[in-house]
Amino acid sequence: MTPKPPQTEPQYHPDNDAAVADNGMYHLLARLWLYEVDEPLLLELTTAPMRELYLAAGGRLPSNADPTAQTIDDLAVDYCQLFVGPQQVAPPYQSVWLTGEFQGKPVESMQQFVDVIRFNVKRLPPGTMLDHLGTQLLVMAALNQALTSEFIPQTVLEIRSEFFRRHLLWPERLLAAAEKHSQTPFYRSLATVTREFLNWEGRRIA
Amino acid sequence: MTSDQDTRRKFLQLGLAAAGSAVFACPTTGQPADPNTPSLEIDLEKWSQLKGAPYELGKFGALPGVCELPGPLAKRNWPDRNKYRNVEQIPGMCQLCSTVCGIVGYVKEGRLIKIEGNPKDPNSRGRLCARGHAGLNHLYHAERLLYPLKRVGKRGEGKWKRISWDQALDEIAEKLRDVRESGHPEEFAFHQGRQRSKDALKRFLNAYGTSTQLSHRALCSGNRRAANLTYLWESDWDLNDVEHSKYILNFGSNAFEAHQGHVALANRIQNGRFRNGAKFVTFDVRLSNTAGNSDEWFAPFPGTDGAIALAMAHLILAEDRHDAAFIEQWTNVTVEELREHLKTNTPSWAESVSGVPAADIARIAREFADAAPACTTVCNRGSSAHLNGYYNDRAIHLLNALVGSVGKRGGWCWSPWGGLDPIVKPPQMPPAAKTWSPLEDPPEYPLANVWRRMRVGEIVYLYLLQGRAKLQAYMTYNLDSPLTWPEESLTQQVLCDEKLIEFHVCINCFYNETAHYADIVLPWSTYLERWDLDARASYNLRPYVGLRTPMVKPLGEAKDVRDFFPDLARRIGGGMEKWYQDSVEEYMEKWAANVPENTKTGKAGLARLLDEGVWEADRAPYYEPYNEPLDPEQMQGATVDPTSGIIQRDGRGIGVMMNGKAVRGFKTPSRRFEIRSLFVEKIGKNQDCAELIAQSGISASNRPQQHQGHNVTIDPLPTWFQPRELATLASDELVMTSFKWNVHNHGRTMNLKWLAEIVHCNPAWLNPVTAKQYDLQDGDWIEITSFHSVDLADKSPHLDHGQVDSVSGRRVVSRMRVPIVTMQGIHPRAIAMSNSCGHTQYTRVAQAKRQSPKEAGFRVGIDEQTYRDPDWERNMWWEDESDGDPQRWQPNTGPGWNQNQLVPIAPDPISGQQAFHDTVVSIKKVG
Repeated sequence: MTPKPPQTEPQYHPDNDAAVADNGMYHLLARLWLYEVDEPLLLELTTAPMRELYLAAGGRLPSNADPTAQTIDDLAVDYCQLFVGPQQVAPPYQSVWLTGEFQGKPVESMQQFVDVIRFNVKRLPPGTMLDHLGTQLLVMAALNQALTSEFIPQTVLEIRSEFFRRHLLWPERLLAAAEKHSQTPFYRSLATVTREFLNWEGRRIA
Repeated sequence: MTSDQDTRRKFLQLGLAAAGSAVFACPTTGQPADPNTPSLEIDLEKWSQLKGAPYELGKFGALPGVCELPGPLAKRNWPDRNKYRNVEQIPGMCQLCSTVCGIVGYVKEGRLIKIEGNPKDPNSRGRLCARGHAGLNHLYHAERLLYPLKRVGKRGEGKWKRISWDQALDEIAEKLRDVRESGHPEEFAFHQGRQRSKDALKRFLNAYGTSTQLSHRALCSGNRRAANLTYLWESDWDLNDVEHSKYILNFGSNAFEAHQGHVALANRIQNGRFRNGAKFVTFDVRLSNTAGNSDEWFAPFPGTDGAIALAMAHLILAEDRHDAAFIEQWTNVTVEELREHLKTNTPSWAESVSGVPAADIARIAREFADAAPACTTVCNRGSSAHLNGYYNDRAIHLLNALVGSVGKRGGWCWSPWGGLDPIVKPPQMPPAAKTWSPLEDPPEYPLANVWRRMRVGEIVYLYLLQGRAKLQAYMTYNLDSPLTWPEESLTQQVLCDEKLIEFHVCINCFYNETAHYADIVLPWSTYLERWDLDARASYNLRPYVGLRTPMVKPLGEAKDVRDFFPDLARRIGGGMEKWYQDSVEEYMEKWAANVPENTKTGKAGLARLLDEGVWEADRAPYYEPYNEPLDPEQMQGATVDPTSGIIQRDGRGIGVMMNGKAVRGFKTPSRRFEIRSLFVEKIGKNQDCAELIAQSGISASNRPQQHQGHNVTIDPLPTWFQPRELATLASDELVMTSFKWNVHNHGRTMNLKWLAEIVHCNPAWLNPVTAKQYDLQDGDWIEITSFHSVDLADKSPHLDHGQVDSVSGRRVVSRMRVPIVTMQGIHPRAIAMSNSCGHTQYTRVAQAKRQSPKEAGFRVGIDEQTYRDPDWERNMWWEDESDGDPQRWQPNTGPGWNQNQLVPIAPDPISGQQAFHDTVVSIKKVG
């Protein structure tokens, strides 16, 4: 019989700001992958200080900085042709890239992680599958959020590491496809920023 | 190059800024990245199990759906014995073709892992074809529609954005409300392809107030149904009792591959042959898998089935092999009248038009008659999808009456139950809408809508183009008309024109050619994710009910019409909403409430269906219903006509006196098997038929106001004529025919890779004799030029359109270039192409093109920039025989060609059935 791990393993966290920042990055990326850009988001991204920080991280913003309906529509069209359909040139689902169809083993594994950390799937946009890259980024955000407490359980670090290894090492070909097929610099750069961030995270925690 | 420190710094700064902003929360949840709520509950027990689990999520090389044989040393571990442990078996009904076989889904941890036939299904008996097994591809296809889409660019440009269901339904409701308030609710048309949710669609359209419900029936089975109805009135579907037959005479049905109900029929044909010693003879222009599996196959000249049948009838009468008692008692003609009528239809005459030797026609006629009454004809689109298809099928069915096999065990049977057992009734339906549109009820086609709403689907786009009707709103459902309708370019032109179709909502599981021309696309749940009660006419000759139930939760935001029609009705308002009081589950409970209890399990109604999947009524097969006696209660107050013997009560026919007994008879005006149909003769001339309808006791439409002036001559007796262009076919012309493979339906399966691996392309079939005439060899390319019907130019001038060819002086439909394959198995004057191919949308699988090795990089067929599907690498269905050698490369045969580019709109002037098999073409070698 497997011995049950202790409920908590208090450990001093040396870098609370870093955990908050990681959490913020995962939230930012999850938001951009899960849903189209809307007016408040575009306004935030195109206003200091976010604008400079986003550009510095490699992001690109619409040349027309005004969050007009046309700009938002253009971005929505690009998001749709890339990630939604009709042809989903860059389907953001782990199962599709690993097995060629929806609802493969990655969904089963994601469900197990969701059960382990009791992640509230109601936080997801309606109909979002668990192996959507945005969902996976959101789960990482939740794990990082737990690390922002003063004392963190070692178990969370373990889970985070294992989760990252199983569910965030796959997207390279998705990101390459998104870069190739995107029709706006915004979404091309989203793929680039995501790759750089995940690569950095991979070196750090996986 | 940036250092790790630089990278860290920029993400740290951006992350901190993002963490402080609420806008990066998901808009639907409004939950910000709040650093002050670090709570995370961890289920440590689950974690301890998970972290020790083997890490295998799938990888490139693990082929989904393909058996991976592990080699001789690992046999003991294969197949995986645990695969079906803890699996839930959920019943359902297939919908990948028209046959609706009962199925069982194996669901494990929320995923459907296998589909099998349901052995409890009385009709399909647990059989399931390749299409049914490929339902897994359908459900988990990576290019399924998951979210509502709204068109952004021009219609047909292919630019979309995702919208919410709320927005989609609001916009649709607003438009439909406007249409209704315009005073022309009929200008909202609902156009269905294959549909098995009749109640749900009817409820919505009735509640809304439009009767413009369009279908594809005329592109499928209109003539067969019309011919059946002339004889029977109570049923449009003959159910050949082949399992008990001694002789099965097949005119053009491809029962082993594509006949409606083919799984059940094919199974019974083989039982009839191998358990009952039946002989199986097929007449078909092409050597189908059915023809190839017959005891004898003959390839007649296209469209001459009816001539052969009449010649057989002639011989049977001439040699006194007929059942005189049946003809005299149970038909409305005499033997002498028939002999006189058929006197010129000799086997020699039939040979002269069909090419089938007279001796064979005579021999088969004798064999057929000798086997009576355990003998039956079978036919379907092969004989009926012609300009003379109505007469072909009338002639074929006649044979059964001559030998007295009508309604007999082993004979030509039918049942009044075309669908669900009559004891199951949906909750109260809204009253039918009383609108009229020429799209739904075109006045030119007298038999299209008299007994059944068969409609004339192929004229819809032409009539819109001609301005004969207008559509303010158009809702398509499981329909791929640009692919499956004749004259592809005309269909595309009309669908693209916002003046002709102002607003188009497409409901489908996949982005097909119809969705491409929509304004809003709604993601439909698959048949494995939704509810229905379903059944089709059973070859057991008794009714049944099957349950379609969600085996898994719909993916993404896909929904069924049962889910969103109530919401849409509430948004449209105006009283529609009152017809939607129940949840889907409550509705299903009420619908199935009368399914009786299974005494062994104690379950009844929906609970029983959820348990067993199907229920079949415990009653005798529908043999010889015409001999069923009328009981005293039925006779109470009845009157008997002393001349005809027809029994009427309350002004409606209920039976006939036969040999001094009151029996039910046939449900025709004469209460007999109507070889002479006065009804069709009068309907053709738009004469009042109220009296005949009353005598039959069956509901049928007398001619409505909109049909006044209609004038079509319909021969009341079975006869045959040859369309002018076929009778005068020039030596350099061919007749184009189409066919369906056993792994595909017309427009909805080429996206399924298990099926596409088997058939993915459709070169034209030519007889080697014909190929030689044109100096053609296998793989050569030809240009096909197709022509509009000359026969229809005279009979249906309202169809007139198309360019006149300067060379031939004829109206050209289109030209298309295709490669050929030579086959002994086709008539030398015919050219055949399968349908199902030639998609321009409908996922990358359906459109897969062969690439040259250079273009593809290192291996044929792989696009490195899109997701990699291992099946695409290992199982390339576009036959590459070059072995990587560019010198041996053949022209791309790609995803095939849509034959409907070439096929003209050609409705049979009587019933409106599309004549898919009569297109005259010329060919020339190219390249």
